[in-house]
Amino acid sequence: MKNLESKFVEIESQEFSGLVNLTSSLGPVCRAAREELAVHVVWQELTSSKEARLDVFGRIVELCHLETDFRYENSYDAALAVYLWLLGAADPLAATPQSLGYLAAGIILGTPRLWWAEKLARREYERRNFLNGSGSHVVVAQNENTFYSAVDFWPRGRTLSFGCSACQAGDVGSHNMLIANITRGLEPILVDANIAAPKNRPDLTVSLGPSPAPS
Amino acid sequence: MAIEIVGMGGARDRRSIPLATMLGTPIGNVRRDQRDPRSMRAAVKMLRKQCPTAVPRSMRSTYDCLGMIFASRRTCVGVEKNIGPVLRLILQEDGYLPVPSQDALSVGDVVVYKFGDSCDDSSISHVSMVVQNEPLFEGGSRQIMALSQWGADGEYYHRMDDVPLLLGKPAEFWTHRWMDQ
Repeated sequence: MKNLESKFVEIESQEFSGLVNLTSSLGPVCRAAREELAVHVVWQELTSSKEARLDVFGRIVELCHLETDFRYENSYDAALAVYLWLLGAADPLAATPQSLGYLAAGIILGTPRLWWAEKLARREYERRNFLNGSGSHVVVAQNENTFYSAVDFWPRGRTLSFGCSACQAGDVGSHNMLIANITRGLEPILVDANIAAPKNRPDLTVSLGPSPAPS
Repeated sequence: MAIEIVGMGGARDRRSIPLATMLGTPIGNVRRDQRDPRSMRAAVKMLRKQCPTAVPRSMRSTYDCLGMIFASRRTCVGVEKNIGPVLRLILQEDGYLPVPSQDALSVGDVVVYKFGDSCDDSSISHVSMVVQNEPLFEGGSRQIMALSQWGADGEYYHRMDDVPLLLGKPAEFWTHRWMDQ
């Protein structure tokens, strides 16, 4: 852990953030991070030790709960992105809902004012659902507006199943989920069937049940 | 399996603004939050070591290189995994024309950078705008100066080819000038 702690300091530094933010797309971001010695060391630890994977997961949880200046983007964005990227790649449980990368992605998606970390978290969800063959459609609502947009857009007559970032550790493999962090920056709200049946869409069936067949 | 951020970068995403090509095709975009000034200062310090001719012009991180040139610094246009496809769409639908060589570049023209040896659009890594193209001395070689946003690390005035390694090298030149032949 000592070895990791010193590398955490480097990865969470302003200089590292500057490096990662030099590019405009995800591929070069990973390329930039890969060149850094600290990233290389963390990667080696992650691939050889379960404790290291738990340490990095724990660090992601810590950073997501730290108060940051609300006027600016979360200053741990670059570090969170890199931790998630490494954790997702190193996790031997990659195809299971218990994967640390998957869980970390959910926590990151519930954290406000992120950029790269949010993009990678979305990608992590995509990868996991592809690997475990579940979920034809994962819908992530980033705020109240997009949550209700999802409801508006949903094809009439089709079941919309959903969960939230607070309960995703449960049945992520078997549900279509709407990760509904209704108000960004606040505790995720556990959406239940009562709140999600909008008055203007009486035709919409909303339930917390198994996913409908992929269309 | 598809993952969908509902309205991500589109009309219903409240972080996006209405933006379209000249032919009317919507361009996905997302406005990014401003980064912490301490982080921006660290970035400037690091980048000026890498690129000695670069002079910071602005420390905003709310737009990217495409957003600076094609969206008046209002938003990030490179919201996909790579910026190549959206850049191609804009160049085509906005009526840009290729410039055969860098000597023919004029103020306002666009320089496209590529990273690595690949020739396809996935290697497109950056764009800048020409702000000066003059000989260093009479009859001598030309010095081309450009302006571009370096990711979210701020906007810089720099020699066209003096950009950080990650942003690639100048590979294509485009103009919006319409000359009566």
